Amino acid sequence: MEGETPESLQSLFWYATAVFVVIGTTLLVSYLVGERHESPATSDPYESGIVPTGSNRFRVPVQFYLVAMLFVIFDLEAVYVFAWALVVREAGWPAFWEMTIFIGVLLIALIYVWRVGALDWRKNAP
Amino acid sequence: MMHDLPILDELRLRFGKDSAQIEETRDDIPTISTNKASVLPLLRFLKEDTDQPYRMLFDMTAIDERNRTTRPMDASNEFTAVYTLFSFDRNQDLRVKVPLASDDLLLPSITSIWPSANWYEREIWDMFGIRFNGHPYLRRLLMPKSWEGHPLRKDHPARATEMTPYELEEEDEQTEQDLLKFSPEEWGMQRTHDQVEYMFLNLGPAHTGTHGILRLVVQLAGEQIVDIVPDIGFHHRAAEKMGERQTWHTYIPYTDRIDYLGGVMNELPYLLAVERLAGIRVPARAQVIRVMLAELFRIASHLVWYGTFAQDVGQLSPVFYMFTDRERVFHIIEAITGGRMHPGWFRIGGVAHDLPQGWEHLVREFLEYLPPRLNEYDDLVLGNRIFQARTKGVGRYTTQEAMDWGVTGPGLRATGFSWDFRKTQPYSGYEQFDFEVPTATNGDCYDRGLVRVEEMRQSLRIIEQCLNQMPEGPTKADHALTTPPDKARTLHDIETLIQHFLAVSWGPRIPAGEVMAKVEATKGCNAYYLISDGAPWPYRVRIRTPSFPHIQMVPSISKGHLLSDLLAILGSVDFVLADVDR
Amino acid sequence: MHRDRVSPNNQESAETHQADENTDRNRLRLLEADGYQEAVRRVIVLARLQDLLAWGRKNSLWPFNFGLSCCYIEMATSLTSRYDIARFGSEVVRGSPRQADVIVIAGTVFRKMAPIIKRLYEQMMEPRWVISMGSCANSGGMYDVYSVVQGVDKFLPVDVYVPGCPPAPHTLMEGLLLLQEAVGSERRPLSWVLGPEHIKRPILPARRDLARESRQQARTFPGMDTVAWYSSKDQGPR
Repeated sequence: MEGETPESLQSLFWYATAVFVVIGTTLLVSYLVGERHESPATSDPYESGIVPTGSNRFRVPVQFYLVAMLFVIFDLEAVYVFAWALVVREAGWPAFWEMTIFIGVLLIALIYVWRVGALDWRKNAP
Repeated sequence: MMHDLPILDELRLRFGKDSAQIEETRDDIPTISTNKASVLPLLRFLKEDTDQPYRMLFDMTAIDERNRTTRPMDASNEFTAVYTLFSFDRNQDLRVKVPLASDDLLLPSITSIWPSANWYEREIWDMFGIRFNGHPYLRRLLMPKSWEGHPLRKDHPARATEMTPYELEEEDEQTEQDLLKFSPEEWGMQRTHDQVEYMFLNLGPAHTGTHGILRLVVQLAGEQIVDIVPDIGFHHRAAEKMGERQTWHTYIPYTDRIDYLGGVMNELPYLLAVERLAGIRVPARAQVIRVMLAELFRIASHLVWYGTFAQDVGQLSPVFYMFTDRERVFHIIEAITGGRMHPGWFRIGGVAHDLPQGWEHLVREFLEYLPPRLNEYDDLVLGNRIFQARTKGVGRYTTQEAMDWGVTGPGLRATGFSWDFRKTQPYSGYEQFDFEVPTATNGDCYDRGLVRVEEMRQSLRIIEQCLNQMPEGPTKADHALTTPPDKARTLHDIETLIQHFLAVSWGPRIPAGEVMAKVEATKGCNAYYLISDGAPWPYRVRIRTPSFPHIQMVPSISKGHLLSDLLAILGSVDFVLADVDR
Repeated sequence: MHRDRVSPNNQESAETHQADENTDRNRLRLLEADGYQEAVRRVIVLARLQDLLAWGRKNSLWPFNFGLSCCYIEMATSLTSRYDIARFGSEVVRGSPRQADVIVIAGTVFRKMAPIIKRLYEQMMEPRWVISMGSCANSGGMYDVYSVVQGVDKFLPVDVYVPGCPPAPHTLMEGLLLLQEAVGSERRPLSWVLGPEHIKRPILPARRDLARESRQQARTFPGMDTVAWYSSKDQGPR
């Protein structure tokens, strides 16, 4: 155990170093190479050629977060499904039924959020 | 004949003889002159209280009369405001004029009667400096905020080369860009409401979805549209001012570039108006050639619309098919006229040249080619479920709303109201053609599309009739004012040679008078209101374009929709920026 | 007829390339004579790298999706199947100026629009090129009128002017080829840290001058009386 851990850590260390070197070189080279120009609007955001109104950091309506969070929640469940799928034969039928119940619960949750209108993008349709 | 129209008697009875004086014009449009005090009640009466009301504010403009030679002038009529109303029940226009003194350029706003008056009044303020009392936000519409002067006044320079050469220093650029920056407070809009922070997004001028340099400032709550402030004038090419300095003949190419997808279709209303002033009767062959080319351009324009509309709602491939078909149209156009988009091929009194040998073959080939393609596109685009989901029920309006906003063309017919100026006020021999006016029922994006697709088929029918029944005969009127004059009339003696030289270099002098002619163009009703002083050039050219009111309507039909629906709405409205800003 | 006009130009351009190579060779010979072997090797490597970059740039000029008026319709037509600008590597139309290499000023430059065009140009990243498409953008064209800037070169550096009102799609494509030629023979600095930026570009002759001779030799012109060309079905007697 003791001999094993540093070795795997070592490989992890080299891996991380390689990642940093590659990223660092890419960033550095792309920073150095090429031409630059600086004029008044160069670093302004592009918005159809017009100076934008207001800041881009403002409170966006809650629906955006709601949809994002629901996506993350339902998406994360896929991790368990994948893990189960790898050992589906070994785990056998009990696991299958457990997974069915699990997906069933998710389905009910999905129907629930749908019914309460959490997936409606706009408030009052015209 | 015009004087005994019942509406004129009714007006004189109700508003007194002085407030409704009848004026002479060269077209059949009854014209009354009224005064400032009675214009608002008079217009309200015409829209709301009379039988068979004048429901549509067809056009609204002004005239700077100060240089006019053929009109009694005094200080009280240096400017004239002109309202053109249209009654669908009567199938008749009515022109109401209000003289104004240059020291008192103020009129009551009629935005309370017609919502569409909003932009027309702003345009008049921008171009002539006439103010409107009670207008919600009277400010420049076409010219930049920093502009000084009112361009359509006679004392404003016309040419860029008469003005200080244009320069764009860094500070100018900064000031102009700051002036373009949208300020919600200026438009009475809130930045936050009920804990929702609104986002103000500039859609355009450099945006693909706006089909040109149109700017829409969209107020968004999340992705839902709260309000839209359109900003136009980026494409203002001063076509009306141009008309005052080009000769009658050399103005023709400029008309092509108004609705730049419509090509020769634009020349038609201008020439109809000029020929009416000059009293020219166009020979039958020239008329049929004009109709055929105009209908070919209707197809070309609708094909561009079809492809780009499909692209706007996410279909990437149809546009390639439609543009290829459009090249087939241009194949014919190029063979006949030598040009592609702007042939400038109609002339005062006819067309530039007779059809080339072999034209029938090209046209027949196209008539065989397009119908199966259109059927295929029905499946590809209109039948597509996603396309339907994106367009059905989006951007709806009723016939009544359409009339209030001045909507004509396919946009009006999609609401179920069958109105086509080719049928109701036939011009250029359209009464001889057998075709139908397609309509739809819901007035949404999908229906506007449906109407246009069917219109292409009807245009093909018209072209087929042109092909089969092309009359023989001359392609230019035998009239002294036909331009360029017939070569056979020249080279007899020095007198005919001089006449020919003058007619070619200066062009004809068109008799004094005023006239309006309208056609059912590709986007809706396009009309030219011309005033002649008897000079070799017009005194005033007013171009009533369909896209202008259509774009003005977009905010009212987009509210509550999502941002992505706005692009479907813009695509379905089918406008051309040169047609909006002129 | 059109093909005739193009072919002498192509020959001409091939000759200019040859001339360029000759001068390069001369320069090398001089350096060798001075004995700066090391310097020479470095120049060769750098020059070859620059050639490679120029070749890459030349064949992938991505246009900015930007149009002003009528010309834009013809520019869009050049993207579609009949003309297919993808043959020249320019089909990747970018929606943002940051990602675009070339801005085609397709249409009339309006005074209200000029500050916006300038802003968009400023937001483009180096290297960037400008094609002025159509008479309006070239000089104001037929619109010598108060609301129109008399040519986009009043405030932007233009690389290629394409004449026409509007230019047909194939004319724009010829303009693109000219720009490619210019870009391919351009030498741009490899990095901004090496010192002041200096771009070497050859001055290309005006097309009008090159085509003059062949145009002067033209003797037959198609009339307006017959259809000038026939479609595939139309080969039979008429």
